[in-house]
Amino acid sequence: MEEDLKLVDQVLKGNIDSFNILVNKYELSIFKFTYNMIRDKEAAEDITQEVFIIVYKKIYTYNREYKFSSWLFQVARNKCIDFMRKYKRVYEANIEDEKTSCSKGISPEAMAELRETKKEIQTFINTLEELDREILVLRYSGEVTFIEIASILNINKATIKRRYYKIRERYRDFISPNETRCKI
Amino acid sequence: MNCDTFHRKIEDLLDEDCLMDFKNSMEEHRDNCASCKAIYEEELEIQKDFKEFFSIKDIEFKSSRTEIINAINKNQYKNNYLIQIYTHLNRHKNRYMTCAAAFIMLFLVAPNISKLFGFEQLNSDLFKFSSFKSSSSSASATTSMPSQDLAMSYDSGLGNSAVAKSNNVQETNNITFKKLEMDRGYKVIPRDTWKTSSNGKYSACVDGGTKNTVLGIRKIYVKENTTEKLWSFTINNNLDPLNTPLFLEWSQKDKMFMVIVGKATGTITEGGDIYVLNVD
Repeated sequence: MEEDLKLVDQVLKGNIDSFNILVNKYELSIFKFTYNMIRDKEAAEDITQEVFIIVYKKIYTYNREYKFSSWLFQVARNKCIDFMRKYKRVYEANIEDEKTSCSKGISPEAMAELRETKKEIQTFINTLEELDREILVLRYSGEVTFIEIASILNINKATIKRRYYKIRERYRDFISPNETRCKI
Repeated sequence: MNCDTFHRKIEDLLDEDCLMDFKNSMEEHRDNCASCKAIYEEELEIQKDFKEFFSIKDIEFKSSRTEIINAINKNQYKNNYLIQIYTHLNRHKNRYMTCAAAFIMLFLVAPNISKLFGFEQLNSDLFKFSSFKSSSSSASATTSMPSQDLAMSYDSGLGNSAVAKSNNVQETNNITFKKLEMDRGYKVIPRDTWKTSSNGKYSACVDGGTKNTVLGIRKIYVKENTTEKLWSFTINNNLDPLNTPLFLEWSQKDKMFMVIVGKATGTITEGGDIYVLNVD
């Protein structure tokens, strides 16, 4: 965090290299987040670009009490929401179109199973509220802590954790509706 | 560690959101309990599935860093003093806000400090406000009292020196007194005694009754000692019909005296408003 603050200070003094470092550090995380929010590669790239341009323009408004990355995710989240409202897209994942390069070396059976799991998760995610979806995306794609998620979504940490565990519980019920875990 | 605790805290273990000691005991329980281990593995599998789903390893990511750097205005923060001032204020806003709050508190509290410690002295300008214009041309000889001059009243203790007791200066109702010339030989029974001005030219009193008892509406009488001319003063535009003059005392200026106005009923031991009345 200290390092980011120093870079921000340098940017405010007109040092472009510092901003370059910040872009380099967070570009992939922001892209991962935006892509998982809107599931459109080109749009996610555009939004990522836009996020950093806005962040540069408004970096003097950054509140140093929070992590710089949290602020970035907040801007990215707002941009994704704008995009989804503008194009009325609600998280339409196109699993069929996704490359499966990573799956090279996996048996066809395992690959089929993987695709099936992804479809299941996608169907499940489509049933979630927007906030729950954001929590999941931040938790798994942004790999941010609950405290950071709370800061990004402006909700307290306990609520985030409660909702997150509820989502997992719902997913368990979703994938195996007839199984009930024994309660002790 | 029992199974119940393990089930409740399994999410924390998966997210590694627990203390090291607790994590160790959770792991120990998991390794020794077959059912808990099965649950843990199931949860782990779900976590793995989600991570896999949200990973972008299937996506070919191309950095837009060059485009971003080309798109920004590189001179935006160079020698931009306004933004530097804004940033400075933003960064130190807590310090500035604390200072501002301290100043505001000081500003609000300072006037009351003297009161708290009883240091307030009689304002020497007490009489400055007491001069007022008289409408001698009026047929009814009504003395009009301009609001700025006579709207000053002083909390006072009845029966004590009105001057010595005047503490909290405040603006109150705009009371005017009606002046009426009385017939010569009109008998006045003063409430206390006639009080003579310092130069001996005038005497004044509040009429009738006994001090600090149920009184009723009273008048002030002023007489010119040499000519025996007598005037009465009654509260004219009385906002409260129970207001009556209770007590008076000459000021050091010969034509002015202070009147305590209070309630006409009941026994008053303190309070009331002081008005300064010019005989002319």
